[in-house]
Amino acid sequence: MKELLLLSSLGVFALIAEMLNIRKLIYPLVIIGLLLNIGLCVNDFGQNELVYGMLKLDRVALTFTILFSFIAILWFTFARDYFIDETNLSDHFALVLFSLVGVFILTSYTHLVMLFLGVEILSIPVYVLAGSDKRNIYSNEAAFKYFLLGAFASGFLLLGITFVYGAIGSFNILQLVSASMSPFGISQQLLIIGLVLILFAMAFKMSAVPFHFWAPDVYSGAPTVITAYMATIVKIGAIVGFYRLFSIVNSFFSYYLGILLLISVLTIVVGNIIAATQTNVKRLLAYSSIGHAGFIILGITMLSSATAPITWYYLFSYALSSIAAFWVLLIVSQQTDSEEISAFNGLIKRNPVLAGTMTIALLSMSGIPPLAGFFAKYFILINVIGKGYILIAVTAILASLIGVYYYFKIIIAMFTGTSENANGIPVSGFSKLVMILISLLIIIVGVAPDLIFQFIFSKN
Amino acid sequence: MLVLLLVLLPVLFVLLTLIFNERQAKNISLFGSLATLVLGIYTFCQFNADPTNAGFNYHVSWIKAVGADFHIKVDGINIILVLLTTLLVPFIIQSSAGRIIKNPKSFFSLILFMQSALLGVFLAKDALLFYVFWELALIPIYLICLVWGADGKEKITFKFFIYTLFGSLFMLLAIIFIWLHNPSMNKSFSMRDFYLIGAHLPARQQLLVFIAFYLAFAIKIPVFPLHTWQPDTYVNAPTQGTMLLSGIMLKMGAFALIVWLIPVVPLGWQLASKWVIVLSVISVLYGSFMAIAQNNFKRMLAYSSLGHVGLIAAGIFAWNLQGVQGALYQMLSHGINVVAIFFVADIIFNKMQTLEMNKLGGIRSVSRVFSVLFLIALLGSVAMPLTNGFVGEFLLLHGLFQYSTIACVFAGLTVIIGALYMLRAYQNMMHGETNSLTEKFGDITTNEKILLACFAVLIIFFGLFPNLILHVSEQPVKELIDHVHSVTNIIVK
Repeated sequence: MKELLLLSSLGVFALIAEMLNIRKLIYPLVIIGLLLNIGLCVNDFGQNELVYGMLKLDRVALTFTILFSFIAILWFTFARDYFIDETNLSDHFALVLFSLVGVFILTSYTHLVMLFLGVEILSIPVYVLAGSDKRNIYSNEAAFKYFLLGAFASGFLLLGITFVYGAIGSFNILQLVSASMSPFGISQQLLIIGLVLILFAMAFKMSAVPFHFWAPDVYSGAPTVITAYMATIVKIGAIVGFYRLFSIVNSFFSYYLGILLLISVLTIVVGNIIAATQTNVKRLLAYSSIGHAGFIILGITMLSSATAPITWYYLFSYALSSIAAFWVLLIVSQQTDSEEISAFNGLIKRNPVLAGTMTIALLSMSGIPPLAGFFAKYFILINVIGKGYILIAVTAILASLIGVYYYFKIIIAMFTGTSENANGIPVSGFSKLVMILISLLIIIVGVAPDLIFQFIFSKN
Repeated sequence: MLVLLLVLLPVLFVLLTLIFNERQAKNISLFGSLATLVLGIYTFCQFNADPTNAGFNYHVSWIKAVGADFHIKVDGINIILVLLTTLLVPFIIQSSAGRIIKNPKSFFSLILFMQSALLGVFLAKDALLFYVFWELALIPIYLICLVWGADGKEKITFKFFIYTLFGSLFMLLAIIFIWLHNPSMNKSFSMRDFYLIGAHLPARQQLLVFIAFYLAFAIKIPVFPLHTWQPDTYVNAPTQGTMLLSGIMLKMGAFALIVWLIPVVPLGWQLASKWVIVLSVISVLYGSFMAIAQNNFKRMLAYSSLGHVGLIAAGIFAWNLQGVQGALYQMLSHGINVVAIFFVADIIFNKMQTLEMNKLGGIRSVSRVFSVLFLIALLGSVAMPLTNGFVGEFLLLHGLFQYSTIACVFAGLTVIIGALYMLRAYQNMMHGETNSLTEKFGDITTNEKILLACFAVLIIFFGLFPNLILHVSEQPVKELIDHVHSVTNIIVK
């Protein structure tokens, strides 16, 4: 409950700060607030607090809240640079903070209406933020597309929830266990259909194939800062929301196994293949994020006691690399007015820190040891092969190989491309420091994955 | 601790090279590589004296969740390759003296970083650690070829990278497969456990794992038909890159055959040995014949390298004492010889700006010392008795003969064909009349003379005293061979 109140009040504070004209305080206070949030979560470990019977702050909720709070801290540091000239910094921050409340609900819900509420609270601010670059027609298109399709998906979600309620007579997802033993035939079918509809809605939010068509346009139309937010935190919310529900469902409904396998394999393959054809880096990163979502869904499909830590680890390494990649992309595209791969030409000479950060982030995303991304993919592959799906593992590996191809297009451009503009790119010292920290974190988490597993998951 | 120091010392010097300024980069990295060489020789001597010293083993837990340990250990087999790596890197770094290298800090630190990764590959006793080091060694050589290579490098180096990565991913699948088939509760990646697990798998599964591993190693060595990345990459890479690739990196693949492929899936070896030996012999012949057809000296050397390592692979798959010992010795010899000859090519290119053999000629009359030292390196490559190449090739052919006479006859053709293209190259470039181009050859620098003389000494030294090396690896090789034969129930005559 405390975390919920904290995040909400941070959002309210950001709004009020605009009125009271204390804009300069917003960033430090938000960071302190998020750090406090992490502290509260660490403190609450093992208590399994039930909030009004609708949210349960169990291990999954608390660890993923720590995750998104940490990534949010990095995002706010990144966004602060972008908004430095904007007069509506506080509006943007407030919307993001409210959206974080939605993510929190998604990590901890046990009541299906909370699932819906979480998805809406997460998405609606992002609809607005996607269109926040008012003078850019692509931004308007992105917001409109996202809103329309997102509302449609939410409709499916609500219908699915209604069916599930009709089938088991309760909104509590923990009661799905007893529902499976129910001898009533009609309820069983209704339950299955309801869950499938919810699955489709969550797949939309996670940008899984074939519900991904909104993602490339929305990601590339929205301002880069917001795209980074969508690619990291919105994905975390959607994936954890999906995981909470389907970790219970999956253990005793084998129907969904086929659908989930199909979705995950399609997502991995389609995401990586189409990304290989892109020359616009933002769109490329959008498609690659679809590919990564596919891997995570595959990991969740292979349900086991280790799924939560593995998903956490993957989301952590992916979010770190994403923030770093989008940050560098933002700086480079502001400098060169282009988001094409050619904008990165010769970056190693123009600004080695940017190039190094980008290289480490891209190497991690493509799964090169000993970086974090390799172990993340590797742990998922162990589970996949362990359950006997060797062909799927081979497909996933080949798709990652395609991933190497397009990530390396950018790396090659950075190291060997020649650009007419040979000036250095100015980056503030603070930004450089944070970028170097992110790179170091990616390397450390990769070299010693045990740190994560023992540290975060030994608390229970 | 000694073994940990071996792997970490180059990394320390990477940091030192990066800290100081560009002019010092080569000297610092050279000093670092010499320090590592001293350490390597010291380790070798200590190992000779007392193989059971605790300093040779470093074993800590790494990822408890999956049972992976950071386990590196010196044994009779990898000490030879450790010696090779530590021996060659100072030569590789010093060969750049007198050449203009842009961004020397990055260049030399990449070379040292690669040395560390290579040492890790050879010393790793844990499959996941082995895999991580294997992949890690790819990054610096990729960057070296990409940034300092000749024209057309992007496509060629990328082909090299993707090709190798493709194989490595199949190796990853095989490693996970074996890890999963651990019957005990505590899964582990250790080499010892992999030998035990693999031996108990059904033959069909062993064959599949064999193919997966073989794919990775065959691409690395390379073996026909997975070799197409090699000639272009060798020719386009900077000289130091080519030396690293041909001198040490391809030995990674051959080493892995001995230690990570055959003992892990003995039945797979038994089923597939005929085919892989056929492929290796085809590789030998293909490389040798293609070498005859080349006019560019460096390209000819690339194909010749392909031929030589095909023989190493064939000898390994014959899997008897002579074959494997010969392979280990030839790895050492070929490493020295090929680096020496690529250095010769680099000297010629530096002065003449071309390696087209029909455009050169008569260099012998301009530089006597160079021609003598070139000839010694060449004879080592051609496996003339008294050189290191002879010991290696003789043992390999002996081992192959025990497996199959026909294979040995065909593989033995490499000796003749090798002599053909090498001596013809020498004749074309060194003998005859000087033309307008080669008149300006001048004499080679003192540095080049010293390096070539060192190579010549090593070639003859290892040709005269092979037992220094061979007796170290004899016992471990015998144990591995016995392990495989006990699983496949072959009676050794």
